[in-house]
Amino acid sequence: MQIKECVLIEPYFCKETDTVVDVAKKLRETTLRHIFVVNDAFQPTGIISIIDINNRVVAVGANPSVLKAKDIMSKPVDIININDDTLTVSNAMMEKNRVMCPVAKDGKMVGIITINELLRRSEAK
Amino acid sequence: MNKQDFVSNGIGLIEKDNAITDCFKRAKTDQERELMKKGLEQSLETAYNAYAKDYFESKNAGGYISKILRTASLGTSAIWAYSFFVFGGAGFGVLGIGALAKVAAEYIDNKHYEEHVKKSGLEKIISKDGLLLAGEAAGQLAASYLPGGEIWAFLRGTKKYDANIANGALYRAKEEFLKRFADAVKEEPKLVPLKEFRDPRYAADLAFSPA
Repeated sequence: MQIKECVLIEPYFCKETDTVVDVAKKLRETTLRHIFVVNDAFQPTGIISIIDINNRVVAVGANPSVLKAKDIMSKPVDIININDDTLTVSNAMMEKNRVMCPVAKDGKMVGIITINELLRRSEAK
Repeated sequence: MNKQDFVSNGIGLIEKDNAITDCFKRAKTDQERELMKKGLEQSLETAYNAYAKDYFESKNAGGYISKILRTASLGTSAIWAYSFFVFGGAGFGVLGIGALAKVAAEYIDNKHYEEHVKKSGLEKIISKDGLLLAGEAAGQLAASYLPGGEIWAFLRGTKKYDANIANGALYRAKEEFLKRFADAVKEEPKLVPLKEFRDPRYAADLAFSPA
């Protein structure tokens, strides 16, 4: 079974050039704890969690209106290809303690796969 | 123009664009269409942040001075018109001051516009450069001698610069949206909207009411 047969979360991301204020607003809007970062070609390049914002911006007194997403993101990020095998992906994600990963098609981010969805699929088989 | 205005105007205008309309037509379900609309909003927001935000937010004192000069110019025209008819041909000096005020306002707006266009990289897609726009202002100066011309010139004011920046950002938003969705709609995996994962405990309206 391939990732493209799974139900993915809509691709939600910020751009590398977004300011930390814009990133924080997006996180507030989604109520999620992290957001993926993409470059101009929509390739996932990193991830920002609320911990990153706390540790790399608030705790060091940096200016969130000036800092960009690319300055504080954690990288690299594991990218799942839409044609990857679900079992291989779920094993890799469990091994690395990943809850969700960006899914790409031709390099562009098209969605987000969660470990829950992969486990649900493996149970259904 | 703030981000909200830009996005709502952009949604209205950009959906009339043939390439984007085609993209929406290819969506198979309402959910897909909704996701594309959200994608379009994202592209508009990103383009505003990258290409227009600085321009609209950095006008500061220059913007106020320009507005005052333009209003003063309009006022001097009214004084001139009154003097001309009441005192018979008087008031050209006042009109000259008004013209100078307008040139100064045009210089301020043009400088701000040119700086932003160069900095943001919009120069590649904006056909009308600052010089041409200022040229248009010279045309306005001539047109302002016509009845009602001064009011028209005042209303047009800085809007010509603002509209050019907004259109440039809109073009970039369209470009980005198509890059994401034009091919993607052909064979997409099933997507579930992000709102399904919203945690109401962290909703924005509760952000300031600690539990």
